[in-house]
Amino acid sequence: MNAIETRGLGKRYRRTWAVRGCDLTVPAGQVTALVGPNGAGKTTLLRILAGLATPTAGTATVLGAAPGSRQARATVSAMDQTVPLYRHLRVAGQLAAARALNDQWDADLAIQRLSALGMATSARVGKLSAGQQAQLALTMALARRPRLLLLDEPLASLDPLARQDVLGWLMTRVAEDGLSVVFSSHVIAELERVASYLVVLSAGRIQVAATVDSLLDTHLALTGPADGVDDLYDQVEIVTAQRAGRQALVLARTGAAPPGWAARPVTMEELVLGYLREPAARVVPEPGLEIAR
Amino acid sequence: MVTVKPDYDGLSPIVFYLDRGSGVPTYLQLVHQVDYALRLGFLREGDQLPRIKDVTRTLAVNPDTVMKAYRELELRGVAAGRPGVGTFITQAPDIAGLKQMAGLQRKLTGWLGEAAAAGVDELGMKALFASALRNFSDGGGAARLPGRDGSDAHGGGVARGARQDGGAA
Amino acid sequence: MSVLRMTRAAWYKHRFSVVGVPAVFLLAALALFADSVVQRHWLSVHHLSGCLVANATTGGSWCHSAAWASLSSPTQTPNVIAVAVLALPVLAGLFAGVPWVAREFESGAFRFTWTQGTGPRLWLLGTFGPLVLLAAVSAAIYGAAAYWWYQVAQWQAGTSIWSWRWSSFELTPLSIAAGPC
Repeated sequence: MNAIETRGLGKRYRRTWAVRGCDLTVPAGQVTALVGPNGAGKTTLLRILAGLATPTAGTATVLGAAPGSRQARATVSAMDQTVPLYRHLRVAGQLAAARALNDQWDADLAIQRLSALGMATSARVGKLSAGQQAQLALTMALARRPRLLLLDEPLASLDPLARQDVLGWLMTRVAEDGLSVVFSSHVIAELERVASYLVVLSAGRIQVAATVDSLLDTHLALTGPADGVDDLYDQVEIVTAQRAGRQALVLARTGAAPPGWAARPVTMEELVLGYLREPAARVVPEPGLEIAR
Repeated sequence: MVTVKPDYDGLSPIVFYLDRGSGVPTYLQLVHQVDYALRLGFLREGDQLPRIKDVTRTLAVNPDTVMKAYRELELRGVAAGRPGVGTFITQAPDIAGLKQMAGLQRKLTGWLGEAAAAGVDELGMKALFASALRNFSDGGGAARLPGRDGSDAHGGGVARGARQDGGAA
Repeated sequence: MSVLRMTRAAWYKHRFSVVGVPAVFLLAALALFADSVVQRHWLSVHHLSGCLVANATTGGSWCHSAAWASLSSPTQTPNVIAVAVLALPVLAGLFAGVPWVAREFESGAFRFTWTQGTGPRLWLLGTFGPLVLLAAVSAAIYGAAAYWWYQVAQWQAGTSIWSWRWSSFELTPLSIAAGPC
């Protein structure tokens, strides 16, 4: 079963399409990084998958169920960008409410995690720092024992140590429970360690949707003479090229360096930035990988 | 806040780290660190490698990546997994290989001394080496560099000298 | 089952309102009831009990003049009370109704609730269902008491108060709903 399947998914607000023509097939058990500029539609896409927004066009399923359906809500946990919580309650009350609202609730996990974080259950949720609220929301999302986690910028309010700790905790849950995770993030450097699947969203459309391994295996960073770039277009599939004086740096989808060019493996950061710079370039999950311009 | 302490419950003699800026894929970094530990004697035959769940927790790394690293070590004949228990070192590097490595390192140190005397700084030395390495592999040289996935036609063993990819050791 | 769970969650979140608002209404109802009892006693003492079945617009003006003729009435400021009786539901709507609705939407907390095991439909039923029920029941009790009180008070209050025998019943829940809007 696929964690996420969308066909032609689109959502329009008044006159603009926040997401459009999204075809996505993310296998289960992946940690998917959702990357894109602000306003690219990441939040909209995640909200549709979470059942918080209804699509204008197309279809989507999460773990085989319709988003927002009872079956989906039983197996999918979501944490919205706004970190929704009952801010007038105390932490204990918030946990009690969550317990009341869910059939499956791992109270031990929640309590252990919060005490490991040093969060007092008598604290008022509204008075917690942004980082602590994010930790609380994340803890509750995981205490529901989901099979799929949808997180919209979960690390945004966290300090570097907390980011490391949260990612480590998430990865442990992935290792032990086979959890699938989709999270959007602006910090690309973290993604190579953590993500196994990459989705790049740009202006509401999917630019890249593939496993990290396949992407890193099929792309190379080429360095060579700036005046050789034009010729290079005939030899390899170029994603993006940067020229500076005499030297050029090219991100190419190829297995070997053409003569006159030096190749090295590309990093996730270079790959993502390269595609973001060229909105027309695509890696779509059709049979084989194809770059369409 | 929570302080993350590498805590392998004393199961493994080594601890992994990650060099994020190096551009070397994560799984390869782990492979090289095992390699390095073996050469320096931190790891010996029969030692257990850190458990996958411990590594994922402390380094915040995808468990598949650790599994990939351990599979690579198995392919090289260095380690073997015991289901339900862990991954263990099966083969210590042979002494001849270590001696060869020591000799190569001496020669390299000599070259570095010459370069420094000629006024080349560290960056210059790295650029010189990188350029030579490129020419060596492009020209087909005496030995081919293995591909990105670390697979090597010769397989097995640890001491493979200049044929290490990434060069992170 | 899930509706009960939602109700428990809603109760827990809004527990002060759920207890406070009906309490206020009941207290007000009791006050009106007590006042009315005193007034009716006064009426029977002055042999004016017949005025109860009449109403201010159609009844004999002799009730009016009799009421005004007697020197004092048990209630000092019927107009003030009349205004308060009218205002209470609106105030309840403002001070209790607003938090009930606002908390769910303005804080975006519904984005949490809607992704839990119980979904939007049950959330509506479980959250607003019992609250509306409570409001209706409080309104009914309050309205009955107000009507009963008005039967006497209409003779003492100013003529500008229109016939609101029925209005208390409908007005109270409407005011509670109007408050949040």
